[in-house]
Amino acid sequence: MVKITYVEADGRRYEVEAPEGWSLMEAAFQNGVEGIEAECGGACNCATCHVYFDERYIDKVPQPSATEDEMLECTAAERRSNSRLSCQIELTSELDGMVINLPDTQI
Amino acid sequence: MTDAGIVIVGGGHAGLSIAEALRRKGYEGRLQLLNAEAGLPYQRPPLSKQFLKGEWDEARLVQRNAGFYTKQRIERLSSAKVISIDPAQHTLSLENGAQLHWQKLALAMGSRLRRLAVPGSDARGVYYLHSLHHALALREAMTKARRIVVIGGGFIGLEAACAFASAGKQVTLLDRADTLLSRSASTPVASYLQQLHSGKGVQIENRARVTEIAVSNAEVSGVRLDDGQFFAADIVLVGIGVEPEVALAEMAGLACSDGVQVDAYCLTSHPDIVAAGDIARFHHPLYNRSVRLESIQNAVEQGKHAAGTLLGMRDEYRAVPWFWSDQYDTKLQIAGLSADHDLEVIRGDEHSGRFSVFCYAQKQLVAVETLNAPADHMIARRLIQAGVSPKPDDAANPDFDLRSLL
Repeated sequence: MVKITYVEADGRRYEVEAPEGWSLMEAAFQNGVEGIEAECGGACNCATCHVYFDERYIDKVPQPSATEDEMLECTAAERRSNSRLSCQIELTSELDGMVINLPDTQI
Repeated sequence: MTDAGIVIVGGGHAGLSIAEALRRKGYEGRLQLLNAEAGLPYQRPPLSKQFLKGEWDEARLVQRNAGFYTKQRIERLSSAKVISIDPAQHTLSLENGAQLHWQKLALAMGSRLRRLAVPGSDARGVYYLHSLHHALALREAMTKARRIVVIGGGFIGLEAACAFASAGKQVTLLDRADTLLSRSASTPVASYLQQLHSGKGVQIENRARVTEIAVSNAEVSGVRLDDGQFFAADIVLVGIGVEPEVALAEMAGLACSDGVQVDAYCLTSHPDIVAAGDIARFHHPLYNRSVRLESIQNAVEQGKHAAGTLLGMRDEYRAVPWFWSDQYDTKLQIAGLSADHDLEVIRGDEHSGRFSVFCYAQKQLVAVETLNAPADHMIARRLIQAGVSPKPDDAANPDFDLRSLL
């Protein structure tokens, strides 16, 4: 299991555990983290699972694919250098303990 | 009956969306979610994709875990089959004999499968794909099958064909129409998908009229067409669409016509009953016609509006419909509704596997279909929502920045 902390834009925190192999979006969604809409359920179709990734861990995940990169241009909240779509991040043991910040809007 | 609260019938995407939106919008009262199926509400789109391919297990399909419902005080009733609704008494009856009271009711029963009605179609080895139990049965059956015939060239048929072909099966796809996805996609997209599947070894028969499922020892052995062609099969998957699950609403006396009729706020003909998702027929203000949409986007967004209406808010539902399908490495996304369009403009190279088709009706942009061009899709949704139609020449020019129009 991988431990992740999600922090909503208003400061609410969720401590979540999810199996390796799941996506960062699924771990949030199943546990009812509100700041992730994930309208398309994780198919990289909607850009509503936008997160600000933990800078300390950013080297431990692959760079965004061309599709994700295009979708990141279409997020509702500002794109930053650590912006990712959480449905495209696969959980691994290396990511244990990371803290993910959520934007103030997804739509 | 002050504690009757709100009852939602249906544990699919629309029902869950209504429940969540009620809490997010501040509803504090009693909330019951009746799910005809067992278990936690789950995601349907992966059933014909990751789940059928064996990439995902059941646990991964779950939408919200059990703790979420407790925390949100959503009373989740599983295997709760409603057999009648009495709007006058504000009650409903369950198959197990229980009667529930409600102050407000939300209908989100979704759709049910259209069944193939030809001789032999009840044979063992004929499968459908709508709910988790179908997907489980099909996933099991396909492991032993060598030759699979798919009947229907819509989203379900094509995605299943993709899963079968990817698993090395010999796949034949029989479609009644002249082109694939005839209800949803333009000719350039249909042609591209036809080539894509053919390239993966799927044999596609367009204009195929199935007249019989051949049966041997009560098991399916093949599919026969009206022109005499015969395709041997170990199993057959039928994907010929769904129909709105309106029986309960009709019995309850609600206005129905291929769906439960709702107004711009998801209200049915009864002032305390809303409906959302596959079941709801409504007048779409962007298209100025009556529509009933079978999609996740519609289930989720219409559900939010229905929840608002239950709480006395009036927020017109006017979202741009959108759809997607993943087949092999190709992502098809559709923004808007393309029926009755009179002009198709292609942006990008039609043969590259990355292009968009802009569909216009009377000079108005009504839909954009994209293949592996997700940014075009996102921009298209905003253009259609805003009622902005790019000049066809600009739409066709990949160097023209469509964002500049917004």
